[in-house]
Amino acid sequence: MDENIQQGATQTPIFQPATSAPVPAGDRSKSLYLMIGLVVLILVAGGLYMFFYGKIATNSALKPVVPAINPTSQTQSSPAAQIVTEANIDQTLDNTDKTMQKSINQATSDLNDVSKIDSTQDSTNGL
Amino acid sequence: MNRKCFYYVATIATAGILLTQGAINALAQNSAGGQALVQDVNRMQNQASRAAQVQQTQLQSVINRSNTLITNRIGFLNNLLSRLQSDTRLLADEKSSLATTVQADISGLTTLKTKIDADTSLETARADEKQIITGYYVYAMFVPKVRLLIVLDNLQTVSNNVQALVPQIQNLINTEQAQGKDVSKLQAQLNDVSAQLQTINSEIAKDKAAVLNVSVGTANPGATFAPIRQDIAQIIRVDLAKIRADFAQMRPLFHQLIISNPRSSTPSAKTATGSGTTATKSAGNITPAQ
Repeated sequence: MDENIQQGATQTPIFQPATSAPVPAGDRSKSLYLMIGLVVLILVAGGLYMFFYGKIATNSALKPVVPAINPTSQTQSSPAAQIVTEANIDQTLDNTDKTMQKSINQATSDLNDVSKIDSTQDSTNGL
Repeated sequence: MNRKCFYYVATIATAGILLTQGAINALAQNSAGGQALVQDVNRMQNQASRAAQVQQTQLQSVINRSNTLITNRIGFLNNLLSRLQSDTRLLADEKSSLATTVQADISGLTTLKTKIDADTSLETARADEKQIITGYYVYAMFVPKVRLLIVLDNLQTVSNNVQALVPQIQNLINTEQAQGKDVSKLQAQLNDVSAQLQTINSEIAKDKAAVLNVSVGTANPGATFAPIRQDIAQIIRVDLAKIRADFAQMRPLFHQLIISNPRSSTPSAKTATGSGTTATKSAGNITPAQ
């Protein structure tokens, strides 16, 4: 009995400092759910990002670049399409002159064709 | 009594003989008339048959002639369509509008050909044959009209292009003037270009309205077309030739200004000077269109 008492006297009381307050079981599960939710959210966001980014990248890779203006649909570009500067004034005037020459040649040819048309073929005499 | 009886019998016998002879003569005459009647009927039948044959031949002749007239016209219109489609200066809507008009005539003539081929009456066929000409006047009115519209539209495009260039050249002249350069000659040339363009635009607008007014119902389309052809010749030989001459005189003037410009030492200015030398040579070759 005494021995027990002595032992009990010499035995230092075990004192554990409370480094963290004991967490209730309900709060712990809430944190766990929050963590899992965050992970799922990140995964979903990442998946969506990859999906759309990949789709855009694929589309841009597959689709040919369409020029804003189809050059073949334009009959003739105006000389004023480019800004006239000291550097290009001579070339611009030269090109315009050549274009005028071509148009004059065509108009002359058309006029000759018109004058060659035999309008007497539309005479109703003898019908 | 016997003598009396004899006279009586003799009279009756004579009368009988006379009556018999008359009847024989009458019968003989009737027989000859019947033959003549048959001959008349036959002759009339033959004449009717010959007339029908002649009419059938004439109908076929009209149909053949009509087919030739239509084929020639459709060929001529297709040539016009090719000329139209190959044009590089006409605007898309101008080309489309003119092509639609030509196609309408081709379609109308094709339908008329089908009708004429099925005609059974000479009178109807002849009326339809006239319609080939008077309904379209392909040679006298339609093709010259479209051709002139093509020329006028082309010249309008040229005029618009040059017109668009004028303010840009004016800006360049203003820039040179701001640097203290003498631009009086250049300005005079550019003013002349503007004046010529004004004349051209006014002529084209007037002529185009006149051409568009010409239709199948126009009495003498040639009388309308003749002065328009003269106007076009004037635009080509005088107005556009003056503009080209103005440009030819402007090029060396710009060349001189650029050379005297301190900025001409830049690479771009060098390029311009180089092309200017070439251009000056070619400018000497410019001759007004004949």
